[in-house]
Amino acid sequence: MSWYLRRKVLPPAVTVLLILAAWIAVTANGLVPDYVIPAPRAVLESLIATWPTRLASATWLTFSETVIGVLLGVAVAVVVVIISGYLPVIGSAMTPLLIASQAIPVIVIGPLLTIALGYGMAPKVIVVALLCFFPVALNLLAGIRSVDARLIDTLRSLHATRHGLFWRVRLPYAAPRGFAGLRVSVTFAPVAAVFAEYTGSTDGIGYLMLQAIPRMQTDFVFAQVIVLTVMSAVLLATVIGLERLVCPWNKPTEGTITL
Amino acid sequence: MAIDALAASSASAITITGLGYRYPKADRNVLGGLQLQVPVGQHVALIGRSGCGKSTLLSLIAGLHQPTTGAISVLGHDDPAGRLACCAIMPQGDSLLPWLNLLDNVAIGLRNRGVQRQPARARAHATLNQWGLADWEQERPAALSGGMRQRAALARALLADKPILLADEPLGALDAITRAEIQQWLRATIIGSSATLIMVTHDVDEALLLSHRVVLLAEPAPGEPVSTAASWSGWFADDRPRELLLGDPAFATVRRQILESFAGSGAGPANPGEGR
Repeated sequence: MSWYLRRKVLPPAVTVLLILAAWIAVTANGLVPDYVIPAPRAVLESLIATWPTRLASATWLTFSETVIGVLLGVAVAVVVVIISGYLPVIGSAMTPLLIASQAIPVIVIGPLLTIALGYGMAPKVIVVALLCFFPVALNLLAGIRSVDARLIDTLRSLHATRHGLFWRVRLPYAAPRGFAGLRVSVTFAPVAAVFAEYTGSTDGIGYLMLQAIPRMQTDFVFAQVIVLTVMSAVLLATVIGLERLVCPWNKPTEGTITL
Repeated sequence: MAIDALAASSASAITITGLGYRYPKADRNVLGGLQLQVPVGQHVALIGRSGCGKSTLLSLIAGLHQPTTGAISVLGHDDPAGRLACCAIMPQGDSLLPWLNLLDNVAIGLRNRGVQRQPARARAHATLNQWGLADWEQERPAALSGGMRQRAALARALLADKPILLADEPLGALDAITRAEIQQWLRATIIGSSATLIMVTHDVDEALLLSHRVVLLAEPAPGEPVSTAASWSGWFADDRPRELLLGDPAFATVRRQILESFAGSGAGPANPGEGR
C-alpha cells in the first residue's frame, strides 16, 4: 500500500466506516425510533426514490443559487480590494462596514430580502453572496497589506510604480490568502442557500426540508443532508483545483485541510 | 535623466555630509555626523557591528528615509524621489517574486519601465545566458539554489540600468562554499559594470575582495555623538583569483588591521566574521 493511501485515504475511510457501523448498530436494534434517526438503508432508498421526481431539480436550483451567490460575493470582494488597493483610505473606511455587514444576522436579512425581492432566486443569491464576500475580502485585504516593506522598497528602486506594485506584487501575493477565504466560504455556501430558502421559496432543498420535517420524513431529510454534503465537497474540491491552477507557486500551508 | 546628472555633477556619485538619523520609534541615534564621499564607479564595502546603522544608511541613500541631520546628494539629487531614481536596491535575503519564473523576475525592472514583454525577456535571457542560468530561466525561484537566486537578484538589479547599486548583505544567506564561489564569480562579473556599488557585509574578506574601499562604521560610544568612519583600500582592482589574494601576506595584514579596528569600534565582544 502506498504512503498516500495509508496516510491520506485510509484514516478518513476508517472514520466514515466506523460512523456508518455505529449508525447501523443504533438503528438496527431499535434503540432509537426511526423517525428520529432512520436506518442508512432507508435514507439511501429515499434518495433513490425521490431523486428523479423532486430531489434532482431541487438540488440543481439550490446548487445554482449557491454558485451564482459565491461568484457574486467573490466579484464584489475583488472589486472592493482593488478599490482599496488604489485608495487605502477607502479600504480603511470600509473595514467597519464590512464587519457590520457580518454582524447583522442572516436570520434577519433573509426574511427582509424575501419581503423585498419575492420568492425567486434573487434573495437566496444575495444571502450566499453576503456570507461568501466576507472571508474572501478580509483575507485579500490582509494579503495586499502584508507584503514585506523591504520587498516593496526594492521593487520601487527597480522602477515599480504604485500601479505596477498593486497588480504585479500585492495582488499575486494576496491571491493564495483569498483562496483560503474562498475555501471557507464555499464550505458553508450551500447551507446559506438552504437557509435563505427556509425564509420563503417554492422549490430547492430548503423548501423540500420544510415540507419533510413536519411530516417526520426523516429519511428524506437525511437524504437531502447527504446531497448538501456532497455539494459542499464538490465546491471545495473545485476551489482547491482552481487554486492549484491559478497559484501554482503556493505550497499548501501546514495543517491546511486538503482533499 | 540620471545620466545627465552624472555629467553635470563632479565625479562624485554620493556625497554625505554631517549625516545623522534618529529612529522614530526606538529613540536612538545612528550615524552621528557621518561624512562620506563616493566617486562614480567606486565599490565601497560598509562593515560595522549590528545596529550601527549600515542598512539604515543604504535606505537613506536610496531616499526611502530622510536624514534627521545633515545632507545626502546622489548624483546631484538631494530629494528622496531623485535619489530613489538613481539607485537599485539588492536587499538582504530572498527577494525574487515566487510566482514569476526566473526570466520574468529578472525582467521586472524593464517591465516596470514600460518595456514590452518580448524585448524585456530577450534582454533578461541574454544576461541569464551569459551568467550560465539560461537552463533554469523557466523555473520559479523555489526550484533553484540559494546561489542561483542571488545571482538572479543581481541580474535583476543590474538590468534596472541604475547608476548606483545598493546591496545589503547580498551573500548573507549563502553557505560558506557557495559564498566563496559567488565572491569569485562576482569579482569577474561586476568588473564590467560601470555602476557605483555600496555593499553592506559582515565578512571582512568579502569586503576586501569586492570593493575598492572598505569603510568601517563605528557605533557612537555613550555620550559621544559622532561616529568615526575608518577606511582601507579594497582589493577589487587586483585581478588575481580569490584564493591567491586570500593567501597574500599583504591582504592578511589589512585584514588583521580591520579586525583590530573592528574590535575597538564599540562595546561587546568582536565577532566580525559571523555570517549575519
